[in-house]
Formats: sequence, structure tokens, C-alpha cells
Amino acid sequence: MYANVALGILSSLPMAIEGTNRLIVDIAMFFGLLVIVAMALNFQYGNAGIPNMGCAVQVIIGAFSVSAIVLRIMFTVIASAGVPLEDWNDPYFWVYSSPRNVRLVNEFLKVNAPLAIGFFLLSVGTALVLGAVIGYLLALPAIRLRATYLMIVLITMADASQIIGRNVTWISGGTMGVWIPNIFAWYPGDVGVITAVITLMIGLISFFIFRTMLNSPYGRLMRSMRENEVTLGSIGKNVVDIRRNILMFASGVTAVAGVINVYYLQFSNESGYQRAYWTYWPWLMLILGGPGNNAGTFLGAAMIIALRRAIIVFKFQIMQFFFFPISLLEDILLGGLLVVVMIFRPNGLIPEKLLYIPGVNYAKMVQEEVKVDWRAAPKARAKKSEKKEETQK
Amino acid sequence: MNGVFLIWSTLKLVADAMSDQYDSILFWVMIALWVIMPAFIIYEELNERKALREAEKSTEGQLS
Repeated sequence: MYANVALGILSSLPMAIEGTNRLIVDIAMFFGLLVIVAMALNFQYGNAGIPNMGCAVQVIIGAFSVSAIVLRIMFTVIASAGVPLEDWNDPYFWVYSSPRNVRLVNEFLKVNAPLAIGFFLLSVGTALVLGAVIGYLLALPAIRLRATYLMIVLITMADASQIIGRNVTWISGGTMGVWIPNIFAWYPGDVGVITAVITLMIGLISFFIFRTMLNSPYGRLMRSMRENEVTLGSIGKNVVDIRRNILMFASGVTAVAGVINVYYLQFSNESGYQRAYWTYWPWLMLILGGPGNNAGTFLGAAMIIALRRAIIVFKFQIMQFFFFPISLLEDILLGGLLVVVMIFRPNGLIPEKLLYIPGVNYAKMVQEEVKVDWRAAPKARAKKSEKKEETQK
Repeated sequence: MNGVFLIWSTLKLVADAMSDQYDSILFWVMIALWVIMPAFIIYEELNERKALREAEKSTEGQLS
């Protein structure tokens, strides 16, 4: 009976991934990707007060880890299985034989699903490790700087990573880019759907990880660092270490978004990782929703992605109302919305609340009067020194 | 145990019958994930705000 009911429900909903459904899949995909980046940014800026303007570096590292490392491992393994791949060792051939090699790899992965899944997991693992390493490297010069200088350094690093990607061919094919195999070639249906499902699942997992961390004592430590790092240092906490750990962890998670993006597009090129897309838009999502809480981040991400997709879909209807090219509208909105939000809702649509710790009355703890008899302190000190002198005698 | 077998056999029957409709199934899984994620976050946010409000109310009389 249950089987019949389930069959009835599912067979009544046949779905071809084209037209509006393709748009829904595309929106879900980019919602998942940008939510991962925005949540990691919320973790860094909203909760720890680290103004990371270098999200693009972290994403680009994820993408480059696939094109520079995992792709070579893939070619080596598949060539050793007897697939006649063209030479890829020379940077010239790395780029120009890429379409043919990738086509052969796709044919191989089509019938070797476990290997394809293994490569995907390897990519995620590599991105997590390399992301953490880049987080550590970002932290080295930047960690002792104040907010403004830290932001400048991180923006510069984002640009530097793009320039390196553009000029070092073996990383991701330089200006030409390299093709990336379809890691879900074994899946009989549409690749976009399975990638979107995996992206959303990774988004959900990272949400639970961030939530657990923020509700733990470490989360309270992060918030105290955001509020006053001098006080935190004075009670014996190593602020530099905490900031470095946060940057490393968030960088690893953000790099995973780069991996999924590169497998979704099946192409890797530095020009796809501009700081406007991977840094400023996530910042706008965070500021619009409200920094310091995940609900705000989700709301901001949903609103911005819906807005951007609406502009893309209805561009012909909208363009008659503007005197400038419609392609500029997104960038104008980015700047305009940031200014409007900062003026009228500086705390975002969902303002941050006090931390809720089950079983602990935080409001009472904050408001409680601590009675200290300051006049008694010198007397106590004098008594202590007298005792010390007596013991010395 | 019977329940587990029932669920397993149901899933197997569905999977066999739907072998050509993976896209439909995954599409609805995607929509479900898309709905569950924000719904859970909003539910949790509301619960925490409610608990904080109650904690604040309970301390109102006690604090000067």
C-alpha cells in the first residue's frame, strides 16, 4: 500500500529540467554556493569581527585546487588505466589538449562511478586543506592589523591571486582556462540537479557546523573578541591565535564552494572569480540580512539572489525604464543597496540578539550587580604583606 | 524489524519503478532541502528569541 502511495505521488510529478525548472535549479545552485560563502563570512565578520574582504581568495583556492592538483591526479590515474590521453605535462599542451583529454575522462567516469565519487571527495578534502593553509597565510601579515588595514590587505590578496591565476598557466590554464571533467558523468539524468542537491546538502552541513561552533564556548569567545580584544588579551587569551584559527576554518569551508562551482561550470578560469561576485555580493547579503545571526544571512542571500535572477530573467521588460544599459543595473544595485542599508538599517533586517545558552540566564548575568568593597582592598593587601613579612622573619 | 523491512521494500519498489525518473526525484529533494533549511533556521531563531524574552521577563522583578 505504502509503495503504491509513494509511486503515485512521485509519478504524478514528472519533471523535465528545462525552461522554468532549469531556472529553479540554477537559482538553487547559486543560492547554495553563496549561502556557504556568506555563512563563512558571517562566522568571520558577524561573530568574530574579522572583516574578511578576501572571500574571493578562498573561493579561488578551491577552484585552483581542482584544476591544478585533482585534475592532474585524475589524468594520471585514468591514463594508467589505459585511456589514451594526450600529453598534459607541458603548459602548452595542458591548455590545448584539455578539451580532448576531458572528453576521454568523461567517457571513463561514466562507467566508473565509485572512482568519480572518490575524485569528488578528494577535491573537497584538498580544498579544505588548501583553504586552511591559505587562511593561515592570509593571517600571517594581516592578523596584527586593525580592521581597515586588514580589509585593504585582504582585498589586495584577492586581486593578487587572480593575477597569479592569469599568468601561471599550469594552475588553471592562464587566460584560456582549462576544461574540468564532468564528475557526475555517471549520473543518468541532468548534472545540474545533482550538483544543486549536493551544494544544498553541503550548505546544510556547514550551517550545522557553524551553529554548533557559535553555540559552544568557542562561539562566546569569538563574540567577546569582536567586542573587545584588548580585554580578552588581558585575561590571558591569545587573540592572534584565535583570529588565525577562525580564518583557517572559514577559508576551508569557503574553498569547498569554489570546488562545487568549478564542477558545475566544468571549466576553470581565473576570470570567473572576480572580487565583486565572490566578495562584495556575499558582504551585501550579510549586511542586508544582519550580521551576527545565520537567519539574517539566509534572508539576505535569498533576497539578493532572487533580485539578481529577476533582473536577468526580466531584463527586456525592465530595460525600457532605464536610460543606461541594463547590464550595469546589478552593479548599481550592489552599491546603492549597501548605502541604503547602512543608512536606514545598519543592523540589517534581522538584528543580532543576545546569545541564548540553554540553562543559563544570560540577561541576568549581564545585568547583575557585582558588589565589590573597594575600600577593603588596601587593608587586605596590607594584611597580606604583613603576613609575608612575618613568614620571612 | 518488520517496519524496517517494510520501509526497505517500499524504497526498493519506488527506486525500481523510478529508474528513469531520477531527475524528478532529485528535483523534489532539492526543493525539499531548499524549504527545510530556511524553515529550520527561522524556527530556531524564533524559539531562541522567545526563550530570551522569557528569561528577561523572569529577571525583571529581581533586578534593580
